[in-house]
Amino acid sequence: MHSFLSRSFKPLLIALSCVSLFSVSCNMLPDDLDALGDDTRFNTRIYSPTLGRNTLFDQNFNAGNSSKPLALSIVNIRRSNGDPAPELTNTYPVKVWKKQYTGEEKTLAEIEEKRAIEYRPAFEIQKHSGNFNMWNIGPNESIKTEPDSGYIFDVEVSNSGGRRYERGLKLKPQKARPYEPSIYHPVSGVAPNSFVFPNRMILMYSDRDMSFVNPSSVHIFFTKDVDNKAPGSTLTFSFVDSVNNYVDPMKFNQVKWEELIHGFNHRFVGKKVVYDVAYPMPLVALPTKYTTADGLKASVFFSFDRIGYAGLRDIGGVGLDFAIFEEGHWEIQFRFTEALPKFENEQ
Amino acid sequence: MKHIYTIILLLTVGFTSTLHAQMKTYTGTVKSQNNAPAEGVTIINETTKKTLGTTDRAGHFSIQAAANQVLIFKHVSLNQTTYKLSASTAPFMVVMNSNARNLDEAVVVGYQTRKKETLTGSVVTISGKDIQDIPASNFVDLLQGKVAGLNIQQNTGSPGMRGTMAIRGISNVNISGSGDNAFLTPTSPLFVIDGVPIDDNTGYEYGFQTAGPGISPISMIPTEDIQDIQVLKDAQATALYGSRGAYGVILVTTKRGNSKVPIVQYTSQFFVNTVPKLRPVIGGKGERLIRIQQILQNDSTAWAAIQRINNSPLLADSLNAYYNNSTDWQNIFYRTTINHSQNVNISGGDQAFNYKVNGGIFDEKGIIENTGFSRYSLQMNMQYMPNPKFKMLANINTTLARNSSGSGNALTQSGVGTAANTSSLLPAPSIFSASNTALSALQVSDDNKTANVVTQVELQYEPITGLRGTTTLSYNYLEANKDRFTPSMLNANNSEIYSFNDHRNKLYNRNMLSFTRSFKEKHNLLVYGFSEMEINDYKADVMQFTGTPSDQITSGLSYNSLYSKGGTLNNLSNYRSLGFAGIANYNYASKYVAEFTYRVDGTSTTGSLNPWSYNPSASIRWNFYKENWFENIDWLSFGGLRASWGKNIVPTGSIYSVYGKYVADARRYNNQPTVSLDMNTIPNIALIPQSSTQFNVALEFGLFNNMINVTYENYYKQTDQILREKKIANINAFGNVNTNETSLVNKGHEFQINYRPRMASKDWELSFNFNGAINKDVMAALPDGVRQLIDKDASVYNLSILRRLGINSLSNVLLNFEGVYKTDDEVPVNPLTGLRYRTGGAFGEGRFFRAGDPIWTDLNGDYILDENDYVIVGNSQPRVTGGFGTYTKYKNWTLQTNFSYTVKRDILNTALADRFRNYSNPAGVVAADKNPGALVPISEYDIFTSLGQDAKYPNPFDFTRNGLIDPFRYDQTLFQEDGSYLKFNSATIGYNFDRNWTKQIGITSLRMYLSAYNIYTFSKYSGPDPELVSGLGRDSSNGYPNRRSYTFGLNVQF
Repeated sequence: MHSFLSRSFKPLLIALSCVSLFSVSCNMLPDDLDALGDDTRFNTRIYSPTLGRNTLFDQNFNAGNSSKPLALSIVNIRRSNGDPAPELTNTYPVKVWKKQYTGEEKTLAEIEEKRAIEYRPAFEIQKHSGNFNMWNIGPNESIKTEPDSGYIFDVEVSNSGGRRYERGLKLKPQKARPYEPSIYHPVSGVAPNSFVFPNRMILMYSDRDMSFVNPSSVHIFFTKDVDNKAPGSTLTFSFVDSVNNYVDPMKFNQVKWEELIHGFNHRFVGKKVVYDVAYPMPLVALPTKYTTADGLKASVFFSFDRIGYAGLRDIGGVGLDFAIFEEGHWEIQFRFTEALPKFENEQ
Repeated sequence: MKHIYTIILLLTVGFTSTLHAQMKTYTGTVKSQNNAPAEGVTIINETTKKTLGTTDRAGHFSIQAAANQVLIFKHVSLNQTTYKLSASTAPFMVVMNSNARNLDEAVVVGYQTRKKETLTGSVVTISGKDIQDIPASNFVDLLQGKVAGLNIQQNTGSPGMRGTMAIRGISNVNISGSGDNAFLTPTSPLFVIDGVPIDDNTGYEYGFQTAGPGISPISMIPTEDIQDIQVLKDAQATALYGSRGAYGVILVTTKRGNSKVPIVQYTSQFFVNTVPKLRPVIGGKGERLIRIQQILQNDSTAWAAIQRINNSPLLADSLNAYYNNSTDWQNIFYRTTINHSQNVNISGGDQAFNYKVNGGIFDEKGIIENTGFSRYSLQMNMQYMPNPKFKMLANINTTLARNSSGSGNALTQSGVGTAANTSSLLPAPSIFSASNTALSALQVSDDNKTANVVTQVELQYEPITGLRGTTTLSYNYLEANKDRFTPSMLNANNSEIYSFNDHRNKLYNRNMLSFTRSFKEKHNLLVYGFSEMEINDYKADVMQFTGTPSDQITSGLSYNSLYSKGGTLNNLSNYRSLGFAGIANYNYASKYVAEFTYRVDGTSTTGSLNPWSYNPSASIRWNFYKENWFENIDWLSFGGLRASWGKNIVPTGSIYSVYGKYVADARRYNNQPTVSLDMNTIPNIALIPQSSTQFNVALEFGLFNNMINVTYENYYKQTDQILREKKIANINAFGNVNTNETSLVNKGHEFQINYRPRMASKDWELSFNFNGAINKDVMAALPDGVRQLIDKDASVYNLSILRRLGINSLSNVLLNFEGVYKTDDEVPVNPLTGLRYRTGGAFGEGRFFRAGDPIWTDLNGDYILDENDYVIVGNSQPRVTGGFGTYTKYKNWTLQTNFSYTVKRDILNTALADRFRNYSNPAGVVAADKNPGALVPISEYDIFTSLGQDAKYPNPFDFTRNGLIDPFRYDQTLFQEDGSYLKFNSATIGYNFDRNWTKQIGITSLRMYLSAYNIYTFSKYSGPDPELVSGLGRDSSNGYPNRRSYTFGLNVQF
């Protein structure tokens, strides 16, 4: 029986295999590969981050008619004279966000819990999007800054459809400016002035005459106490008059000190107010009650009220939008170089 | 029909019985070897050579003969048998052998009748009888699941329309329209009705593209008049229909007369169309409370919530009768209808002269109000053959169809879709309420008429035996018009008269010379050649008058002539084609068959650079069971292997793509009106027709005396030179160019299995058939040598379509949905900026993802959801299609069932998305011309309602952020579902009355049956019907649902 079956079914089996063989032999089709368009482009070819802060360059790459995700990597990064640039490819400890910052954190520890230290190269590309990350690696002298010609690098764009190189992209870092508004010129690093001006002033009558305090007479100094080696970071606000006498910050009686900045444990030390803070400030470019409407800067407003002329209540104050990128013990000092605002009630 | 012989004989023999007193009435049944009734078996008296009678549909016969007479039983596909009568008149049974019956069937291919055994191409034949128990406006719908590789999806229930169909996968990847109104260019096969080609794609296209009635010419053929249908699939079978055969060919043969005494057949069907299950809706107070609750719980502040409620009369003004309703909108539109179909077929004659007249009425009211289809048809043919050398055939078929599509078009009912999706708080339609879409669906007077006249004359002359000349001339006239009146209250106080009128003329001529010769007994040669010519023109005129003096004046001139339009539509065409074909077929003792064809075609839409297309094909067949070494194998009834290769074309584009077009220019030159070249599309004289090259290999065999028949086919179909318009650089004066640069490949397997067990009892008969096709389509070439091409969809649906080389030709481009964020902490944070993952666009707090929002894959890892995060996923085309059916007979009872299935198809459930999206506007404050959407119960869905919940669907209630996040966007994999289904198409229970009894009331045969259609669809799909989706797999809310119908039918033959 068995031999009968094998003998008689054999021709049928041969026929069947002939037919199915046909389908195997007929594969002249294109392979299933990704498309890599010849219109992939970097819209921005020169990147000028400021050192000492986290900078994200986005919306800079157009994938064109390509299948996504693409894999992008920086290759052949070099100084403008062709020398290798290990200072960019070396990894440094940087603070990275692990959880979302909301502005509602109650303690410094709660903020620090959301960040962690990781080792990252100073300049890296997001693997699939082509965005560039310039990390805040702290003070670093080895990275060339403008007016140096900077660095040149290529980017390899690839997927299963092939690879392309975008050549000759430039990285021209600018010198670190640890705070904003800054007194330093971004290219030369020279400070033409030693102070900045407040962003807004309202109803501040001069204590000397009937005029308003001249806005250009209010000078604001950012200073970092490099000698203070105490752990952690602080931010101090102080106010001085034209002869460098400290003005009691409590005279700004409308300030809700605990909500002035996202700092903690505020204390008044010798006519200064000191906060324990986490830098950079603001921590994240997110609008919170401590920041400007775009979230890019911290916003403070020192206000006071008094009984003005004709018995009207005046609310006066001085405000500043600022950002500080470097950790340490910072002080922001408001100097009223001509006249102090009048805090007292009119008689 | 042949049982009419019985009647004649009964009459004649009955008369002569006075002379021959020994004549007796003998009755009996003739069956084939596999127990199937043998119809049309001629019974001959051996001594006198006189025909005594023929068997009927059930194989029964009744003759008058003398005892001891020897009878001869003859049939085309059964071996001749003799039977000697005894003295007893008890009913007896004759069994006729049917060796390789499957292969002896005669098949018409390439305008020539041939034995299936010598066929080298792929052909499937469906008998008209198999589909005639279900009343249908369009017979194509009834072929669903019956032919392997013929994929039919009934995606509209609109009466008179048909769904999409394609043989062996799609042949075109071009898309028109956008959003859920995007349509794939139809690539229906060519229909050849009694030898005259009818291209259904051109008839079909204006169903939705322009505003004509949209009745497919195929709907003009009454189902009852169909003798059989042949589906030609491969290049060899379609080779001779070359100039339009690239999408496959379906041949339809109508009935002919062949009975000496006229036969009158009457078919009557009454059917009830019922509405499928409608969706549940929350009505009245329930809806209002849900809306208020949603606002109170989710608005930004309590104050904002109360203000929002108070600002919405829909919610706050509940004492106002206008808003205090609970209207069941769906019930207003959907209805159950009672319909009927009547058909009379009168035929008679013999080989020398025969005729047929078929008159029919088909009347179906749609399950949506104000829609319906009626057909009045008269089909006539005759054949005259005074001697074996000359033959004349003539047909005249006239059909008149009327349909109404309400306010919708042939394919969709967007008016009904919108209106049925209206909040129940609004009042039912009346002239005082604002629901214009609803009212127009009900009150627009829409009257469409389509008239079709087909005439055909065929002459054959055979001066020398074997050499035959045939000439065919046919003229086809199709006229359609539409009259629509929209009352002024429905059209911004301007009544509108719309009048559409089109006509298509087609003249077709074929002259053929054929030669057939057998020599040395075993060598058979068939050679023939023909020329084929077609002239086809089409023109449509439209008048649109706005503002008649009153709603009572529904025709004539309008006072508002500024807004009145009229003229010839720009789709007018004039097409000509000319073809020459030659064929040579050789077979050696029907064992080895080889066939070659060559065809040259010129069409007016081909560029003048290469006016002719050259289409060769070659094929072989080997009937291996005839080899000597199979002689002793008795389990193999037959077996054959065949292979074919060939090329076909189909004309695409219009003559304007080739030569350009002059248009009346709006600009003036020298202050004179000008006519200038249309600068939109540059003429391209290099255009060539779309071509299809196909390899086909097949194995056919029958086992155990044909108890099991199997056909397995493997094909590779390459479609090249697909026409596509592409933009050209703006440095050119012209904007676009049409080119033939796109290619597509379909490859797949098809199998068809028939199983007919031999039953022990003669009362029982059983048969089972199963077929299926696995098709894979692959994009093979795109314009300008690119690897991928995206059709961006600019509509709110944002459903782009991607074509990439090496994968399926139509892929969806969607956001990848991975679930729902359980808590805010689950949202990823950019390590550099510390910002959460958010949607793109202007920066805003609301755009950051939160708990309850959908998790969409951030494909490029930039923590912003934008157009770079779409993935290529899904295939809108079905991968596996097929069907199966059973036939059971017990004595006079028959039961026939039919199923069809589609496996692996991705559907975008935009209807479900719409359900959730209606919750985005709880206040119900919308633009002036729109109505707030209906709320449907969504508690059955696993939606996110509380923190930490692992839900399947995002939070639909957070309406303030809805515009920023858009959690229920259409373009996401959440709504892409598997659309596999198994559909119980139909079941028919029939009863054949006993002939002896019916004869007493003067009826030759009588059959009654009950059938149900569209019975049940088994599917995991969450929408209403996985079949009711567009050709691109989109389930829109505006589709016309498929009816479920129950039929009572009667077949009477006099």
